[in-house]
Amino acid sequence: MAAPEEIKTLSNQKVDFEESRRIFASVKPNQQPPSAETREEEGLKYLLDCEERGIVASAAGLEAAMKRRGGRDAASMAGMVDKGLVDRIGGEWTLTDEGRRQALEVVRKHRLMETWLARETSVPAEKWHRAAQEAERQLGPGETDRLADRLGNPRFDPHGDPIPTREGELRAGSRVSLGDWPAGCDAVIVHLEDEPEEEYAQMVRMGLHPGMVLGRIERLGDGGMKFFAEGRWIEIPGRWLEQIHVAGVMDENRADMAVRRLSDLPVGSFSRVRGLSPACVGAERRRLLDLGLVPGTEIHCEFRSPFGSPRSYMIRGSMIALRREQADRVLVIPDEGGGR
Amino acid sequence: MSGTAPAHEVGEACLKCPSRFGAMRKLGLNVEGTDHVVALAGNPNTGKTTVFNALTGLRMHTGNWPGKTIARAEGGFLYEEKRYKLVDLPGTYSLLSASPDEEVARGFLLFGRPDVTLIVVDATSLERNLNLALQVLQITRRAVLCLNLMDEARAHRIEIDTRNLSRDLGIPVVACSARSGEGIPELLKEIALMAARTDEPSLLKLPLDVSGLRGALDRVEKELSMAFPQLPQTRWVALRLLEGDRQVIDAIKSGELSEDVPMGDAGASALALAKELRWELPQNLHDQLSESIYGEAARIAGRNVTRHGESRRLAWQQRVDLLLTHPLSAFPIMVAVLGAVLWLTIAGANVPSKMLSVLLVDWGHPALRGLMENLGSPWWLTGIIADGMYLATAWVIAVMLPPMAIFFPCFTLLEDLGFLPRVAFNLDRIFQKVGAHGKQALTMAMGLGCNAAGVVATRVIDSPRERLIAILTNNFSLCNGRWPTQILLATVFISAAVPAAWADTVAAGSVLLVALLGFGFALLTSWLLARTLLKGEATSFSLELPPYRPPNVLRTLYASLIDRTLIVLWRAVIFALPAGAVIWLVSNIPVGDTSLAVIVINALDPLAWVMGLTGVVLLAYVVAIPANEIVIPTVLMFTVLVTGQHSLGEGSGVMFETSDNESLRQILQAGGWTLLTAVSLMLFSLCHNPCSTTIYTIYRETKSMKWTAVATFMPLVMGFVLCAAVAAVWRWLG
Repeated sequence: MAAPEEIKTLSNQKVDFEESRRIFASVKPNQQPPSAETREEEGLKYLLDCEERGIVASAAGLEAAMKRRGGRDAASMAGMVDKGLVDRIGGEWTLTDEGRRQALEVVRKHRLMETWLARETSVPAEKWHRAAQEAERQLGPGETDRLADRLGNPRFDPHGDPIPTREGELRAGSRVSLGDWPAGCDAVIVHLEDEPEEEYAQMVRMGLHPGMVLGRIERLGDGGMKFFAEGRWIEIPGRWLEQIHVAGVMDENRADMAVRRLSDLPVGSFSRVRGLSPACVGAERRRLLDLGLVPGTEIHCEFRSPFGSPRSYMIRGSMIALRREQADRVLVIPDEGGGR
Repeated sequence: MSGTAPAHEVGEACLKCPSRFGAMRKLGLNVEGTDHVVALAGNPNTGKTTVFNALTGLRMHTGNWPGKTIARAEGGFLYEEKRYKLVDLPGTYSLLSASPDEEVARGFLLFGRPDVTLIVVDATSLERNLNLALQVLQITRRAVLCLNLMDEARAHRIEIDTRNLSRDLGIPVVACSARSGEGIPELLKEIALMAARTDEPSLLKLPLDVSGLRGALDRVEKELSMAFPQLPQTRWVALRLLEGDRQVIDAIKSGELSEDVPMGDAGASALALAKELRWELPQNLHDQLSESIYGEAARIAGRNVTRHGESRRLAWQQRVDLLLTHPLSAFPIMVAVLGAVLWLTIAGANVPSKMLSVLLVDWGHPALRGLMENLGSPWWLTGIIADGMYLATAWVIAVMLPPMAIFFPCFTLLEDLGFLPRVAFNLDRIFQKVGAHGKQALTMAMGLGCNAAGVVATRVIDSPRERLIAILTNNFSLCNGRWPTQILLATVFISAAVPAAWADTVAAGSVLLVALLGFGFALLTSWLLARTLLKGEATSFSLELPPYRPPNVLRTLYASLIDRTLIVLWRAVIFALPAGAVIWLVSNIPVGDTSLAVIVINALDPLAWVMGLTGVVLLAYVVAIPANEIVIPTVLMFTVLVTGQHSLGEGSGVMFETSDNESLRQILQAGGWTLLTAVSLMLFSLCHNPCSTTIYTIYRETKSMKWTAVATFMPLVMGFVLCAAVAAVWRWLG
């Protein structure tokens, strides 16, 4: 009986949840007035955002962006002028070099935190923004870089926004809203605006995400749009068009009308993997890749559980159970012939 | 089949023959002063552990489970005068990701510098297994490929050209069936040859078709070879740097990679170059990399594997799967099998339990007492040792050992057959709804045998949140130690409250109801935990349904006895010894004209009344924390102590039991018991803190005082609330 007791348990076997706990503990609706520091950070972010979009920063614009009134944000801005972070020329604010450096640091922290939430936790997409806002305050400057390292120094956050590098560069991308995109041309979603939160949550529920390739884009009579993406036809209302930013796609990446989702195929069907949806990230994506769900892999759906999900699939000689939510992320080309 | 190993039958006699593997001797755990280190790598569920056992003579448990080897095991063997240390690495599908298992495997291959790496692959699914093999060969070519499960491959009519495969991979390939010992002698020979090699075979270079990658790799590799001329794996390290792998970056900075030579300027410039170049690579580099390695594995497998006839699963396996997962037949079969195992356990344990009880309690206890008295030991020492420590331990062994010795082998057999993964598959949807993993069904079923074993079994759940949920809720599975309590109370009190014709049915029904209530509580608390304490925890699902395999019955029996039964029993005994002493002491330490026990019991009575229990029961639960098995004997002893029915008991501090239900009822009724007490106790027995063995195991598994505390107090609080609510309603209804 000595044998199993002698097994050396690995040092990293510790189930370590404390780090994420610290972050989730603070994810709750924040009703209290923000602290002076928060106001400053928010002000810096606002100015950087104005700079990126090329719009004029003003007291009214700031209050509108913060959804707050009472002049305290403007006062905080005046404080930052004193600190040399902001220049004021007439009624217009601009960032000084030091101000821009600090603003980029704040943005970097925020976007890295959102990336971490998207990849390493199960916090739903509509909560990323707020959770990151709460959590980023607890990150020291050194910790930001450590987080970046752990995530493999990603270049874009889960909304498609570029993350400033640790040297303080921010790559500006050109953005076209879906409303301005010509119907009939394929496009790829590069950015989803996460404000207003309610609309963003609905977009996420509908399965929209950066990296999604849209084909056969049509305008609908009611101002909305219809397109074919990841094996399904999707219709969206007109009010979303300005929140979705797109870019053109290379010919080889155009939407393939033959693509289906693995979850939409019947039991007994054969198919061949086309790829994983870009919405599938982090541990979940690694898992599916490791199971062999790479382009070209043949899949045979063998049977399903009494409740319909999970289903069992023969993948590269092994029988693997996939839940419906996982099979939703696997894009395949149905193989009508069946087998080899 | 054209293999290097001739297919031959190995009989039982051959297996026992010491000279069977040439000059090989198994050294078990004796790994001192080894000449060569052999690392054992492979996908989960490829029979890696079986190979390990075949070589070392150890008996690690092999489960028909992916991810069985979570902890690293080491063993040794002697072959042709050389001592080898075999290190079993965690089973992984790749070496690309940042998971703890893969970091360990990757780290050992790179920094542990094993003399030989034995790559175990499943011959029936070579494609998927070669993915890992190709990644290993990028780190070390001092490797031997063990094509395991050849017997199964033959059954599937899969033919593998081992000679050509060996040429493709550039390493020796040995066809094996470690279960029967086939191919092991050849494997040993190849390991010895590889270990004796003094040259460093060149590493495998994979064609990685990711746009821009090759140029970047060449440049970083050049810098690296200037910085570390001795480093063989420059290309692989360059790739890791381009992927931003901190483990490797840190190893370069600290000098761990270069045998403790600190990083020079050249190393720093390699790091800087890699950092710069990674920005030019495609955003989904990681995905494209895994895709191209899989592509290569598929090409090599395609060249060397021929599948005859039916290329898919055997027809009978398909039919069995359809039957086991059909909405109409799945649940009746599952319930029937579980019921049969439980019945076999409870009914089958009766006779050996009685025998052990006669031997250890009826005969052993007076004998030990007599012996100590003859030796002139003072009465209190005899009391503590014979009446306290010995009796508690004897009780635990007598009641615990037989059911576990039946339950665990049955369970392990079902696991090895591949039945239990199908149960997890069928129930997964329910568990998903409460934020848990289908495999929790299995850890809960395991908990029916013993919660400590159930907690250990949660290792098969690889998602941290789901694993923690399974650990925290396992206590709601009514364990072996609690079944007898439930059955006793149901037969003595509940069935007595209904007409005799219904007695048995009502008794059985009420026990079943309590067990089902436990299942409901487990789901409820899982749901609550997933939404509160564990909100937002990372989760991922994976469940492999292994092919049905004929179990090796003898080995299963042996392994489950050692692995599960004896470990659990050992821990229980460790805790029972001091508890026995405490039980005896509280009953015999005089306080005024009464004993400490009576004082405490009187103090606990008001709280107990609220819960519908008695102070005796609460004190019994406090002192009998080591094992639920001794709760009833302790209750009886205290009851006799409090009521002063001295003619009935064995003396204060001496636990006893009676097989006569009528006298049992009389004792308890004298202690103030009613039907409510029995019902409350049945509920409290389901819903209270885990036994100390389980608590200790939870701590071992989570390494966290906090989660251990949650697991301990959450069910206790629930039990208090539940019992108090039931008692209040009961009294109100009159």
